[in-house]
Amino acid sequence: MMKRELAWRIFAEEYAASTLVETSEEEKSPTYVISPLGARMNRLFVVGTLVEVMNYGSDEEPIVKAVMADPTGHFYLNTGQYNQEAGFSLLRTDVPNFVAVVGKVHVYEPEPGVLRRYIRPELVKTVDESMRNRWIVDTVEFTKERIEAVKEALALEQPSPETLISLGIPKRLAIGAAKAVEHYGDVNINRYWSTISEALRYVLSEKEDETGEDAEMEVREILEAVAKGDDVYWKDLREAAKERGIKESLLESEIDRLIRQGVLYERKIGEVLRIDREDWN
Amino acid sequence: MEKEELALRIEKIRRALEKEGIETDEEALKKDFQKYLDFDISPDEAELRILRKHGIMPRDAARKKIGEIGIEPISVTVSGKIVSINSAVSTVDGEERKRYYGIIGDDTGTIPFGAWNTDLSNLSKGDSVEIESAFVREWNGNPQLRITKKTRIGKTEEDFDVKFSQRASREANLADISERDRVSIKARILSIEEREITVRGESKTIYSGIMADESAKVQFTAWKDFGLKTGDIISADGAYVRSWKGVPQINLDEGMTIEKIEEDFPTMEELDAGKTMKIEDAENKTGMTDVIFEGTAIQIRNGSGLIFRCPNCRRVLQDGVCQVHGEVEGVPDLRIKAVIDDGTGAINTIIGKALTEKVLDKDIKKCLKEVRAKMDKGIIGKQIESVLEAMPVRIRGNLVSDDNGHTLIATDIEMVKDDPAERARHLIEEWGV
Repeated sequence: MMKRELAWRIFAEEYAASTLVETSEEEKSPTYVISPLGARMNRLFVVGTLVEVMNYGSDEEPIVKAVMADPTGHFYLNTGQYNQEAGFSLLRTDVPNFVAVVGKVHVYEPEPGVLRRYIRPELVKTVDESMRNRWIVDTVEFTKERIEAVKEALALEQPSPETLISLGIPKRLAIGAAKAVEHYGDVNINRYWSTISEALRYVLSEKEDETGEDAEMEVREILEAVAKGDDVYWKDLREAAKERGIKESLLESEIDRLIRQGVLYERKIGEVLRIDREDWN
Repeated sequence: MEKEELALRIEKIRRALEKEGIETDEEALKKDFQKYLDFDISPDEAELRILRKHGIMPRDAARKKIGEIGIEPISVTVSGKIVSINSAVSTVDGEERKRYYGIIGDDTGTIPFGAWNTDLSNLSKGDSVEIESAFVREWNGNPQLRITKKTRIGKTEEDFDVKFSQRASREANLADISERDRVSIKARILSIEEREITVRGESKTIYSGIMADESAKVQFTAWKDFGLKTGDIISADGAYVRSWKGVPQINLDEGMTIEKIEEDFPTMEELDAGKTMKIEDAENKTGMTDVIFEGTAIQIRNGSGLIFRCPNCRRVLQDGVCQVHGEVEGVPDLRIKAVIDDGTGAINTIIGKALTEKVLDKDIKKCLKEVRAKMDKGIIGKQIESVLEAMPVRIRGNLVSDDNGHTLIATDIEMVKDDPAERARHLIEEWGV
């Protein structure tokens, strides 16, 4: 009997950073995408905001490409003749909307060295905000579990799944963690710690952030002050914020808010932000 | 091995073969024998293996008390009482075969026996028998009797006060027992009820219920009245494990000693609350009694909703037709077949009528009414999708397994309603992030 593939909970940032694809010559054997934190994924379960739905096919036989956002980035969905039902569901959904998506990993290499990662939805369902928030917290917990597995793997000279399992890492994570460390080398774990921290604050932001506007003005001022042209280096930004006594977590959640508003985007994730002048004021 | 001794052995084997009309070349025999010795096989076993290879089961089987039987692969003759006997059908090379297995004991001990090719349907629990020329083989460090075509079995009048062997039982948590284990356990009786059953035409009272320790709940059957009551903490040595659909069950046999003990043990309430476990931890079990999973219903399978069953065999009808009984008047039923995924694994579940009514918050009568009004049987399935799909659920039930994998037969289901913001605050504090 074929074991059913589990549905991984993963943030868009981690999925987008995945460059390791495992395929097999054998017929019907599943494709896996292995993330920097060792998620060895064939199926995903993600919840976020559906922000764009385009039909490249016909009404009867839709070929849909859609984009959904989570607090860390974007997932790209596509449907065709094999998952038409999901295509119809996407077309029926008003945009924007919170949706839950179960789907298979799908990778596409338009030219050598360029890898596009999609999700081929099996299920698309409109959900409410609390479901979305619940998914974020679940995904934070799973991300932390993976961070710890990769940390163990990095500490070993020759990380093998067997050694990791003997250290108490679940088998589900051990295979991927060993492969991730081999492929990605020194995974930037701190980056995913900030992802966790930001995501948790994102869940709380609607409820706790009453000083939002002041903070936004102040962060905008700092951005202007340290910008080199339209580029803002995270390093400079952090230093300037520190000087002004702004907490890093607040800085990050404000930057995140600006990214969501569309006035900023990450030109190089974790390094360089760019200001979109058209929407800036 | 000394040359003379070797020569004697070879001569012995040659003669044994000759008696059966088998001509052998002494040199070839010597070579064969030496090969066994080279692989560290004892001369006795080498002799036996060679004879068996030629189809000879040595007749001079040693008469032994059961307690004396070691793990050497020899042929023995024993007398004793059948403590238990069961049969199972398995398929070998596409052919169905019935095998028998059980336990026989005398006043010195007990030993498991098994028969692959011999019909033991005339034997029952409690029979006294003489088993002549059964072969001893080792299994997990303990001896077993293998009944073969050469074995003769006869019933006797002798009675035995069976002493249960302790050698085969190991201390185990209830979560850690499997089919045909003999285990020593400590557990609390959570429920027990008296049942009348008929064994080969005779009525018998047995006691069955649920027992639990910290690790798991397990169903049990006591084959005699041990005076067990709900709440008792017991220590049972030599309990026999059998499985039903992969779910291990404890059997308390007639000859066993069961002690009621008093010690620190989880309370009834604690044990009854059930255990929430990760699906990945359940995947390597063949079955479990009363477990809880928390996950997302990531798929509602076809065949969920309002179905009609054959009144004779309960098979689900296809367009009003039963595949065995043809066109019949269907009996309406509700069920959900769903896949629950908790991020560590995925599991199939079957949710029956009462729980489906709970999920839909209406009874089957109302469902039938709606279906008739809309002239569409499928609407109930759609409603189930809308309520359950992509939703977090806490599902409780018994985990069974067969060739198609695991299935959780649900005994309860509820939607998980927790406050994500509360959890987020808690994590920020706990992890200091």
